[in-house]
Amino acid sequence: MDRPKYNYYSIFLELMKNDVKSKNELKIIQVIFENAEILNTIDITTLSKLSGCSIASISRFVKRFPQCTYKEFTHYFVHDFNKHKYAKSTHKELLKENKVETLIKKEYIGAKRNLETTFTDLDFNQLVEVIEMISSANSVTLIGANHSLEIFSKLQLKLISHNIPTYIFKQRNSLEMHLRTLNSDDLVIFISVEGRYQGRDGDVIFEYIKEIEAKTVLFTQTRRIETEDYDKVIYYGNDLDVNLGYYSLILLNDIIEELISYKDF
Amino acid sequence: MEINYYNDFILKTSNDLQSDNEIVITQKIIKNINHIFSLSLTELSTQSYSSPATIIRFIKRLGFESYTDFRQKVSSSYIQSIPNEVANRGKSKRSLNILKVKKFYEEKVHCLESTYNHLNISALKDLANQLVQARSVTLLGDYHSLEIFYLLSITLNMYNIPCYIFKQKEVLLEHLHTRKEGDLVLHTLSNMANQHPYIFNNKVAKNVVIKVSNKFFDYEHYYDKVYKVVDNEEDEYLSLQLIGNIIVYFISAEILGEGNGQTKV
Repeated sequence: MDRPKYNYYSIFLELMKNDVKSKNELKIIQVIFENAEILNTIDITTLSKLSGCSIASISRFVKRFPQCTYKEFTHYFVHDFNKHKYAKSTHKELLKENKVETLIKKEYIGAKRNLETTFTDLDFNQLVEVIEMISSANSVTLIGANHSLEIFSKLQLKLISHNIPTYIFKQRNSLEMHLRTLNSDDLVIFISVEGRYQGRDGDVIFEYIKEIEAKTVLFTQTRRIETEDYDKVIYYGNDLDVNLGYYSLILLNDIIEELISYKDF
Repeated sequence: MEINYYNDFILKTSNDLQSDNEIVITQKIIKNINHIFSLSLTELSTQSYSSPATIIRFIKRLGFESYTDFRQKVSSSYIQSIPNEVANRGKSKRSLNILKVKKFYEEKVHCLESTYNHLNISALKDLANQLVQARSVTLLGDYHSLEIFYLLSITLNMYNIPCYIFKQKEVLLEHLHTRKEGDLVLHTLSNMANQHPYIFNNKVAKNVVIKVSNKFFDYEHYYDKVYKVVDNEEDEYLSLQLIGNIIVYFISAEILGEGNGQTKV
């Protein structure tokens, strides 16, 4: 059987950050994390001893990862952890030719360039139409990577204070449950660097939202996307500046907040 | 510092819901937020299809003493947060013209410039040195700053230094109690020392804070060491975003060494 498409190391980091269910899970997570590189050499009995948790507790924890046994989990986890470590060679290459100060300057110039593109390319009329959609929606739900959602949590508070129920659910199960309560009067805003919600089962979630005919808006850095998939698309930043887009999202959030405060709806 | 219970409620429920009931209760509270003070427990129970006992358990888990305590505190914070936008009343959104948007853009660029021009390079190097020598690192901070420092955490993981991020408060506290000599706790923003002194009063690990603003100077006594990585007055996430990204380069340089700076920016 082919291995599942999921990245087990990424799922592990997300669980650790947002969704630890018990003290036992915490102990298991600590032992796994501190033995990440050699986890595939640690059998379930040894992990049980190291963490002070029962084998049943460990099995329950592993069940939170899709489609795998303990052995498969440890194998995939180490594989994905090592894959992630290849980024080290990129850093090595960069540092071979640059002093740190040069890299910092590049980051700074890139951030300024990203903001500048957002400002010069912003379609103001399109943005006003998005605000009209927000103000006439029954509710607004924001979907995206956690970092983007944190930036837009200020907008969430602002919209609620304007009597527009606005939801952010970062836990996948909570989001799925919430989406089942939406209909065509609701608006879903996707914030996605690459033009699609990239979370686990992102395509399934997107198709479901289209099926219930909820209105959709996309904020994205990618210019090469199927724009007809969304009711409105707002572009920010530059196509290739993946991590630099966060600077522009902060600007975009502030502009939208200001627009919302104009009381003509 | 006074806690804004309304903001706190929205942020917690975006990040940490434990059941379908809690999702529906949250949805109903957000929908009724403008008259939450008069929304009785029985009404909320009927609307959310949850028993009063379930609602009270949820409310207590969020840190409130009772349902009455919850609606009083959240209602009062919410009223304070309702915007008083007299200046914008009656104006069309289109009157937020390009000049105003340009002002937002220029403010962001100024913030970046100021941060970049006031970086304390030697403090950044010292901090990176301390991070790479740690047995493990745990990040403290508000949700947004933790997302900004996510890149730093995965970089440390890449170099086999486990870097923990826990957004659930109980899990974080439990984890902190397991830290030993050699484990480092890195605090990324100002307000937490003030809001959660118990973390610092019960500290078992070495705490270090990254200073990004002069505004929390009063709390320096909570920490073993404070790194003033930037000497300006900017207190924006935009500033922290730049700082979070550039620390990553210092960490890699500590471990991999750096080049001769021949590359042009």
